[in-house]
Amino acid sequence: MSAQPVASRWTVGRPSEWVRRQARTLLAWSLLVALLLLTTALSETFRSPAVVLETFKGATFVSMAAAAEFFVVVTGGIDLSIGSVATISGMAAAVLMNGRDPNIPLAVGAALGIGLVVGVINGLLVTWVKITPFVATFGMLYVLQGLAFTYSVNPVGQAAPTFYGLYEDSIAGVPVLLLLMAGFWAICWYVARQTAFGKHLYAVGGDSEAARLAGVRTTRVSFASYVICSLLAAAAGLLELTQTYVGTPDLGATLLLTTISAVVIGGVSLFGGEGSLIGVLGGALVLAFLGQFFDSVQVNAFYQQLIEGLIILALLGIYRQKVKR
Amino acid sequence: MKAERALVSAVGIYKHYGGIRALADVSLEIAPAEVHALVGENGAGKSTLVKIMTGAEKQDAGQVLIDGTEAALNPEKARELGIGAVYQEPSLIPALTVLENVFLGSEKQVGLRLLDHRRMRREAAAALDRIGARIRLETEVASLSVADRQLVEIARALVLQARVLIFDEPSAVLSGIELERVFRVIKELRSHGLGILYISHRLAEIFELADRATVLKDGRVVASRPVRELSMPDLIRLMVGRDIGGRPPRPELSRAKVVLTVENLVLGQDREPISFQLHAGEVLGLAGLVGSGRTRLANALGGIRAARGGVVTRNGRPVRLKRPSDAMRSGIAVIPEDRKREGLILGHSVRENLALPSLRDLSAMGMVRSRTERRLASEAVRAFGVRPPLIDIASGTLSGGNQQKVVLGKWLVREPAAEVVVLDEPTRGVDVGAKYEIYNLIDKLVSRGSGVLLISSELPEIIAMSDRVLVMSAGNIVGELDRSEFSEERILRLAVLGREQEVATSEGGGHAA
Repeated sequence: MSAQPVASRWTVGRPSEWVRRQARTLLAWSLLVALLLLTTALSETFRSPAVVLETFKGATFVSMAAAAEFFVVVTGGIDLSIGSVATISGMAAAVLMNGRDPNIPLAVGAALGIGLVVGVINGLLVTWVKITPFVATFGMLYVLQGLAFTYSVNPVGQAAPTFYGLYEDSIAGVPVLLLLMAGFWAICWYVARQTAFGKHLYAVGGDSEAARLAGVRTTRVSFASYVICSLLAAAAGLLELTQTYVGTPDLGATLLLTTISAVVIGGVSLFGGEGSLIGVLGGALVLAFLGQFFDSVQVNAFYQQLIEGLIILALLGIYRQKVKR
Repeated sequence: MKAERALVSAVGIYKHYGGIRALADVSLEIAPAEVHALVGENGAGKSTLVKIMTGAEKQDAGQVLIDGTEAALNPEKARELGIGAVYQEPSLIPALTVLENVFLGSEKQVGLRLLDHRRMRREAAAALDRIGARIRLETEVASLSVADRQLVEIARALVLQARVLIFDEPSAVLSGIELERVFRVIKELRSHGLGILYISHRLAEIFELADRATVLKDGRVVASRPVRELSMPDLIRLMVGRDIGGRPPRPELSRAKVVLTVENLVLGQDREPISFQLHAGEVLGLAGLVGSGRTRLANALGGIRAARGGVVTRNGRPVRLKRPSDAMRSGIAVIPEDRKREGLILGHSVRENLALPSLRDLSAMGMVRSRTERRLASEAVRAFGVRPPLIDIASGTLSGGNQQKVVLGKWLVREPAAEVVVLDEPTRGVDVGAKYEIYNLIDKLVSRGSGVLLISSELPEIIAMSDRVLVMSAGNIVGELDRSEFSEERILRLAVLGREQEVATSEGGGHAA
């Protein structure tokens, strides 16, 4: 094709170019806005700021897990053990805290430690033993879930007062949870978008061999992505404790599905190399508000799954047709 | 030849992609028993035209006529109507056998949908025989050479009773003897009355092979004439719209400093260890047939596939080359041959690809300075003449030659510059204009004090660019020639016959493609 040379000194893309590249992210957020408008129009309760705030707080946990999954998916991998890591970390923390404030550091350390260990094992299974990510983390899912249920089939332990207080506390009128969430997303965004490591994640997902030849330590990058994923998943499990008070062993399965949904709705390609964290945040919020909406209008929860499924299929159809890079 | 009716003709084809014109009022005829060459620079619109003629793309305006009647083509229909295509990267399925590939999608059946193995074997064998290919039907395609894969693809077209065969730049992936084989097959097919459309950048082969040449430039036909009425300079002028004279000789540079020493490098089992030195300001040509171990050597130097033994020394210190990042750190840049698979992340933007090897250098306190990144990319795009000069488009949308420029750019914009640059077939699949730009770049590299190891299957290129040539054959270095000893024959004889035989037989060898 013969394009006319562009005269400008800076061959920067036009605005339309930007829109095209961000199309998936924009789509996820448009969906969120549409959903908000729809819910406020349809549901009385949704017009109260308190409910909206509550929904945001409730979304902290899922969105954190979605960010965790993002780091693996963008490299072209997948982590199916994410829900069970969150579960087992949450249980361990609840048991260790046992309702007493002095135990908080120990419990937090243990929960994150579990995340770290699982992440390292996942990373080694994928990069060193060379098991396909799907299978490796699928196995890990069963191991961890098995461990959780072996320990207890009922909720265990108890969060310490200061810890679960995080859910209600606020600093200068802003809920602590939202501050935490803002900080968390800022850091993740910075790592993914602004650092060489972040760009390496995308490169590995885009074409691992080309990335390797460009001097990217591809095994190291994928290994790190699994460690980050499990670590963040553990942190999400910990944070969920502020809401549930007790460690629940049957959290994993739904969390896994919601997480993957958020990542997909957010426009991340499951083949890797494409997608943005901002989109994932949009995806997680869409799911949170959808859940809240169905609760408020008292629709059977199964409809929610149905709608979620339809949204995912519709979006993927659109991505496929319209916004191929 | 024109008296006969065309098998396939394109009439007044227009095609736009977005706002970009790819083809404008293009007409072309493929007559029976004729080899019709389609030439033009990268991005001139050759591939687009081929895609339209094989039904892979739809034209915006104009018609494709088959036997004089208009046909609305899709790939399946085109095949039914007897249009076959042999692509650069054959579209065969590696895990299936030759037989299965030949009949993929057109399996012969008997009775209750059972496969008619006997008939398929017979027909496939006949097709392979007809083109003189000795390939067993049970062989897995994965184990075949690129040349054999092309032959299988030709056989596939033949069992479908193709009357027109389109060859999409076979010389971009084949060299020397292999290419000779394909040429023989093409001539054979022509003598059986098939119409052939042959696409190439290499002008020499057009004079050897084609009866007629159509030149595309910027999406328009600038000439369509019998080849015997054309001369090489004519053709170049038509393609680029300007004269490209001989290149001025590079000034002699001091070659005192050794930038790379390779000692007893073992590239594989049963391979003799390889030793040589590369000097600053020198272009060391590396000639040899495909499969002679040149790329293997490049891969070893680049840490892409580590050598089995031996020592590589840079500036007096042995360096470890276990992975690509080791080579980068040691100031060795290897620009791989297969740019589609190894050089670029096609889905990512030109900017992202250009910056990838330099991200660490572009970072300040862990943060990639995106303004510097953009500036670097813009400068590279301008310096290397990438068209279109946009840094935010996906690199997969660029034409082959422009992709190659991005691959070169991504290594050559790095600061500090690599002292050792290994170029593996840098001009493969690249048009004449881009080729000269790449040559200028090589000159720039050596004048800056880098040593360049240039791997190429095009002997004229090796001879024109190199200060010294190493010839490889069967994994070993079989000869070293100085500028005064260069000749195509000499190099080719070494490459084909190896060391001992060269001394024994003074005639023989072939000629360069």
